[in-house]
Amino acid sequence: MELEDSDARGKHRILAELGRVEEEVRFLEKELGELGQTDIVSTVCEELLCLIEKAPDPLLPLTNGPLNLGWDRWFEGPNGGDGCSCFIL
Amino acid sequence: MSVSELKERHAVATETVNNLRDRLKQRRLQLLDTDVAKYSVAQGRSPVKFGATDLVCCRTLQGHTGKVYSLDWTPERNRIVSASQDGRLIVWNALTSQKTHAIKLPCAWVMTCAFSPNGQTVACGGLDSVCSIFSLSSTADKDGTVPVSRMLSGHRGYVSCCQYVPNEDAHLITSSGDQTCVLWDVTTGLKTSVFGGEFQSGHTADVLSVSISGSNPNWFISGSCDTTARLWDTRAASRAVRTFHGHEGDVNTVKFFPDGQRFGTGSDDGTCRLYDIRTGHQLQVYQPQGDGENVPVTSIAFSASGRLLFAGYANNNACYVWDTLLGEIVLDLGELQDSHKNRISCLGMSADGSALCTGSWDSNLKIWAFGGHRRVI
Repeated sequence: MELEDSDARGKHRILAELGRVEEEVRFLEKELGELGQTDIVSTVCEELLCLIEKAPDPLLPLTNGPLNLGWDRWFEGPNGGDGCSCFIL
Repeated sequence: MSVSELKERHAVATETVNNLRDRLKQRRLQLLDTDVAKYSVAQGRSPVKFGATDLVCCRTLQGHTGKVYSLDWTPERNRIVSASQDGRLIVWNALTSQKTHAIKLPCAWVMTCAFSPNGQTVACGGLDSVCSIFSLSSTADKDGTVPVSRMLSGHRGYVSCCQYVPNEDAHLITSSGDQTCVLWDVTTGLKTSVFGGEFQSGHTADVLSVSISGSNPNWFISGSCDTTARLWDTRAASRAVRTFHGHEGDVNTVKFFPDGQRFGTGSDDGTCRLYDIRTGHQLQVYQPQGDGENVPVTSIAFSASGRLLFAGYANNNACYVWDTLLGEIVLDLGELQDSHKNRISCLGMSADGSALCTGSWDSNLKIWAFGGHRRVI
């Protein structure tokens, strides 16, 4: 009886595994199909370049605006901590 | 069908999966006509040039007595929570360097921490397999112990990373050594969804990191020891939307790009990579030159425009600043004045992009900002 039970559990487990693998096959076939309609990398690069160069960035030496005065709060006035002794010449 | 027939069918299906994966890999290679660096050079772009005193360490946050493992900024600019090997969470006002809270944790083995969107609670997790929530308005006893206001229990492995869903104080996502990610309802303490795990297609090894999209909070990325990063939609937990291959080692860290349509990764294979969500393409590999062994990447962060990628490495105190367009290292924070004295384990950009916080095994956190002459186009 115990052997039959464990056989049944084993079969159930294999069935579940099989279901997962066959589902994976379906998803991979779908992805392969979609790749046929997918842009090449240079199209994405064009989009990325444009995006990056338009956005303001407080950490860049040369950046698009608008400037936000709050970006320089790290260098303003007395602060409670140690360490900041830099000043802008 | 008999068991042996089922096993045969399973073997055939597995072979089909492997063939399909190969074909996908080949088809993707055909679409890889360039990468970001080659494209940018062809468009006449040159690397960002930093002057010697442009990026400076403008604060050192001292207070932990052990390695710093994790940090997170509040959305409203100036506060940071950090987690350390010393078994404490510290909440800092980064502008004044003051500590506002020092919470002694019930379990000292903490790996991750996060600030809630409203800045009123912090979450942490680690080897206890639990994500604990603390209210910052609770009173600590003289030891620094604060009562846990909620425990999110259910993971069967360590909690490696946690992040609140943007603008939702009631929801956060954790990643775990049990190979799953979980979306939690903090008010009830219950799991809303499980991503991956035994009965679902998901990661096949420990998950080390998550990052939730700022522009579409239904999406998040996870990075795993199975060398992949996966995109998930919280509305459909049964399987990942897409799996991103390429890395050859554990993916230790993942971070969404500022526009929410791309993301970066950092890995034990020594590289960072940039992936595109819509097409699934790997856009760029950021690999330091040199003959040495590949040094694992511990953590990454993007600047506000995405032009800069900050990456901490598991050697010395290196924190390379990559020009993401040109694929070049333009600065090493580890070589600047007042740099950390040990490895950088975590990084985070402030909400407005004006400051980077680094956390290190030297027990300190440091704030880095642009102190040079800024030119605006």
